[in-house]
Amino acid sequence: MNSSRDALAAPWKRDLPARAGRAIERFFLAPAWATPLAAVRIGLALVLLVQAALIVPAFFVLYERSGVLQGPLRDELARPGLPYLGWLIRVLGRVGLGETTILVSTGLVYVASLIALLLGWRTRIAATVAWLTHLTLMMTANGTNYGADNFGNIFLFYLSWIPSGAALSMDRLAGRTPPGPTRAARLALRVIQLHLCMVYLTGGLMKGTGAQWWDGDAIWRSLMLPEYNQYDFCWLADHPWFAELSGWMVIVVETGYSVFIWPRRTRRLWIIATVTMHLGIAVFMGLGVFGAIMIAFTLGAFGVSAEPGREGQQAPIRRGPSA
Amino acid sequence: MAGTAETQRRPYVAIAAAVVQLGFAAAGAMELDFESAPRLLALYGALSGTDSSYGFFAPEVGTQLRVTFELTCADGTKRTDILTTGASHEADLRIGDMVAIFWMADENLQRGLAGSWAGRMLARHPDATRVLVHLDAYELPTMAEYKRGERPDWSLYYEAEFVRRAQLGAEQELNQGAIHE
Repeated sequence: MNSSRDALAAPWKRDLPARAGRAIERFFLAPAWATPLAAVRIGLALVLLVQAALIVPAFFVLYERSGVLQGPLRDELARPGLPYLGWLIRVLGRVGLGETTILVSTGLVYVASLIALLLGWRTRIAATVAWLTHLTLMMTANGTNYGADNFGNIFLFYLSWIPSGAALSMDRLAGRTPPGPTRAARLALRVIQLHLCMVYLTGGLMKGTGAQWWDGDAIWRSLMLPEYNQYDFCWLADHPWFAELSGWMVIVVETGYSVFIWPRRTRRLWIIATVTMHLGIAVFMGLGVFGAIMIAFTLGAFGVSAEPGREGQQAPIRRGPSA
Repeated sequence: MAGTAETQRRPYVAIAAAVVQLGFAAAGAMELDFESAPRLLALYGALSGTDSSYGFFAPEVGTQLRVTFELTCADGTKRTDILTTGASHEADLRIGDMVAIFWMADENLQRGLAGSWAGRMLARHPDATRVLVHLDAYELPTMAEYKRGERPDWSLYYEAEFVRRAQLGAEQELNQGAIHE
């Protein structure tokens, strides 16, 4: 009896590793269109350009050595081994280039690279330059950065490697990138998707460990602190259940993201919930750039189809991994 | 998976690279200390941004600091100023983040930060000879306390006075810092 069971089970058991291998391969390497990657690229470049425009009026206050972080302190806060303008100013100062020239040049190169990235012109080079200048500016005013800057750095780094210029780009129009779905696009998309899941999962779990997120105080404080306060939310004190419920919703949306963003049935709901949450953060806490960046990532990575065979996307499948 | 041995192998190199990258991202998410890691790993974490953690506003939402400056001119007149630029909310968020370093800074860094801001203020007000840097912490009551009638308030957190070097003459540079919890 047992031996006949084993005999029945044996093919299934034998197949398991092969089936698991095929599933993993499909997940990471099934050819995909680069459209979601292009959406992430366009969204990020747009938001960073808007952010740059918002910062321009305070550019020198934030970045020059006589600004809010003065020379020696700026050097102290800079992270060793990473590019920052302090050493460049010292080196180029010897050949007569002033701090203002270097700062303005860096800012202009950053903006130009973001425009090239937005258009998908020499996309990887543009992304690499944007990433380097973004990181340099971050390190130059280390201490004034926040979440939006960190996410800018992470995703500009990704865009330096991934084939985001293979769709919706001047590179595509010029024939500089190969047509059709690729395995590289799928792998890149999976890395971005999994990274986003980690971001939301850890954010949700960490909030879940704080009592403030369960009793509504976190929402109350986020909306009432002068730094974030945009509207009068004193009325929450009379309706604390609203703050409490909002806190629970944030935990559910963030923690559930890594699970419910994957199945088709729940994906749309979770995208809407995540976008709504970030819109709320943008509107009610004034964190517009941060909210817009996170919305661009979720919409690009999970809201745009990468699947071959859709209408208007009938180009041949390429198997090359290095598109 | 059709193709030559070369094209068979290359995707797995890319997958291995992706797994390593996601491993770094996971380490950052778990708030592992990259600065105590070997130099090369720490450098990769910083360059790729994977050394970032994602616990925004978690597990608790803290409070905020406000910095104000009281400037005194040679003739004794006083005026006040603030650090925020007014250029845009995005720019002023950065000023707020920089001020928030104060919570975690040791005494030396606190003094360095206050001195840096004082320098900025003295540059903005060339007629001022001394500046009092004043940091207040925002005290926000809970919803229940607010309903009972308590209201938000600012309380002194740190204070230090800086004097323009040119005005000191034989005096040593004055830097009377006092920390108040």
